[in-house]
Amino acid sequence: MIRCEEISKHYGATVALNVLSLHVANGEIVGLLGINGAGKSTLIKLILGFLQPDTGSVTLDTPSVGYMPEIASMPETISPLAFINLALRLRQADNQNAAACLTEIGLNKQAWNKPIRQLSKGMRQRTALAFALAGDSRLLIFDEPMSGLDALGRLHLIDLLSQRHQQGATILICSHIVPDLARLTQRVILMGQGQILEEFKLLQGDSGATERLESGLLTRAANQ
Amino acid sequence: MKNILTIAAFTVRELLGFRVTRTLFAITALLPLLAWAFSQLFMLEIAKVQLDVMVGGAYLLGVVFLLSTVVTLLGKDIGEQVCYFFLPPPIERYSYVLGRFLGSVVVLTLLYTLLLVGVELLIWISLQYDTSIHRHGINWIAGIMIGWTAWYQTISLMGAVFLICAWATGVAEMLVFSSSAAFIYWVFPPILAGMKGRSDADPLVSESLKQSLDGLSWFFPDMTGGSIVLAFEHGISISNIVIMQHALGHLGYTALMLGLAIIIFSKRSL
Amino acid sequence: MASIKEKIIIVVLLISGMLLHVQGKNSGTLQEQDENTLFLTGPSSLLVQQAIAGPCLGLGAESNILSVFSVYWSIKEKNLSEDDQQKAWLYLYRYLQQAQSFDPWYWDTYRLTNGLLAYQESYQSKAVDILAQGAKARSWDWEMPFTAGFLAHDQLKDDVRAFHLMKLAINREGAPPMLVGLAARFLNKTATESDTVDFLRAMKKSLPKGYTQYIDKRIDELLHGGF
Repeated sequence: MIRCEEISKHYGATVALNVLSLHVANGEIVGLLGINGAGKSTLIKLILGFLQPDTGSVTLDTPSVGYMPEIASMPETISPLAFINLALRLRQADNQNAAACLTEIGLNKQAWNKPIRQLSKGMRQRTALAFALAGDSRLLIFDEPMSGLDALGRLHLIDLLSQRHQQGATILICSHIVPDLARLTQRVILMGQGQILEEFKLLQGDSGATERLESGLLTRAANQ
Repeated sequence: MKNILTIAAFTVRELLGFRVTRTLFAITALLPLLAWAFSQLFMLEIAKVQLDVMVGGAYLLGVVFLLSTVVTLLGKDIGEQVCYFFLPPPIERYSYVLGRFLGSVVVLTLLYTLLLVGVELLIWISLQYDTSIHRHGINWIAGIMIGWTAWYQTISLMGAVFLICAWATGVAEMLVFSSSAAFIYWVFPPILAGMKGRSDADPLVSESLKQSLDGLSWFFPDMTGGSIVLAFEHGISISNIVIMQHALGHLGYTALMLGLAIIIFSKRSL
Repeated sequence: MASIKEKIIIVVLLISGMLLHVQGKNSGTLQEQDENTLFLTGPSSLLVQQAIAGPCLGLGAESNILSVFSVYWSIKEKNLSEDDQQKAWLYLYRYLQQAQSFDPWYWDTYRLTNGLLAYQESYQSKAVDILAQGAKARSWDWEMPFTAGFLAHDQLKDDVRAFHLMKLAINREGAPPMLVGLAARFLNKTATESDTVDFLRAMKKSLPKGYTQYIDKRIDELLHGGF
């Protein structure tokens, strides 16, 4: 589904990604973990084509991608309903219903027709999530999807993403919240200084996953 | 094509939701009153003065619309990364640029349609109540020409604004460069025409200066719409060829700007 | 919330502003200056005006016409010195010229040229020049060249020029047949004072009351001072 071959990206003298290769197979659910500045967001932007790599190549094997950016600035004057309708039309999913997408993500019905600028942070986050999920894209990419969500919202999202995964979606998720990654993903990639430091394969119901990931983060990434 | 139209329709909804857009519509609706009040300061060709105010209003509204609304939209899209929602596969970057442009054009057209209603209302009142001296040469075509020429010139400037925004980073930079472009487009063509007129009349002016002035004028759209409207206001007929040349010139300029904007935007980092 | 110190500063600023404003309004010297001095700097160059007006050519002409009103008001209402009077007429002429450059078809420019400038000794020829150019631009209008011709005859005593302009008027579409006879009488010097006065009165009709004093003066000269 995703093939990144020896990609590098520099911002001036700063190395954001350093000859990194990553393969994500169809139907996989992969987590990206790392401290700030590790290169996670840059990697996602390269995968989506928002940035061009200095060297290497990125290949995507999917007609459409559902993406939720980290800082979700959205069209402020539009209602969530109109916004989700845009996602459905762009992804050629006219048969789907925007209202159903918003119900699925748990956005209060009263907020559906309000301009997005009037929504709380959590509601905006839910709207952005609904935008990514709308249209049943085969590849879903999330950059910090849990920030701004309350505990219930996080559990609901994990549940929702697990469902999508079971339906065959490939998911790449970048998060600082280790227990969520441990619960949701099959593989976590620990990044630091633009490189893959370590890969963790997680099994379903792996009770020690969180500890392993946290200790990996502390020992490998914090030393960078 | 479907994606372009989808983004365009969304852009229309988005722009119409801006408070500044609604304010511009309100000002446009009130402009005929301002034109009427201003014309009372003059003596004879009152209806022509009213139309002149509407012409000024059309050009100024166009510039304000671009700077306050279109630049804000693109600034938020690119500077605050709202475009991340539009641009993941399968959306091509050119679809995004063309959709945003088309949507902005539709809102501008709505604004000018409202203006045109005001212009035609003023013309109708003049034809009903003014003496022939006060409304010499005025007819409904003059009103159409006001909307037509101002629309073309603003679209050209919009093309340039899209080019600037495709390259600049952040609202502040976009606003500064777009304002500069609007200023230059407003100020330079008449100066160039004036300088060229003088150099043509003066045999001592070197051929290279004349060529430089000619060359420089290629960077600007044809801003002679004001002369065309003025002629129509006085009932002077302008050949259809000149009007079509004016329209095609602007369409060509806009296409050029937009083509460059797409090339730059397709290559830039977001 | 502002501190007490800030509030005191704001109040002091407000009071001093009010005092300065009242002082300025009641200043005798300023008032006298305003009555007797020409507070006008004259028109900026045409190129600068064109740059400011951009595509709004009509408004460019109208802004110059508003300046003509303002200069004429100064001439009429203020006790200007001789120097300032001369300066004011020069400005008025330039504003009219620039209004014509912006919009060569605009009738208000020519009515003001005809009503105001044409009766100032040093500007009679210039007024006829402006009107003659206007006659060229307003190709549908017989009145403009005839008026220019009349002024060339009456003020400049240049009957060659008057002949060309009146001939242009007579050949224009819609020119009344009596124009031929009137032009012939003017140019053969067989016109009576009443012909001239009638023509001046006809011209006066299209000017507002405040702008007819120079035509009135000319009529008065003709009626009481001879042809």
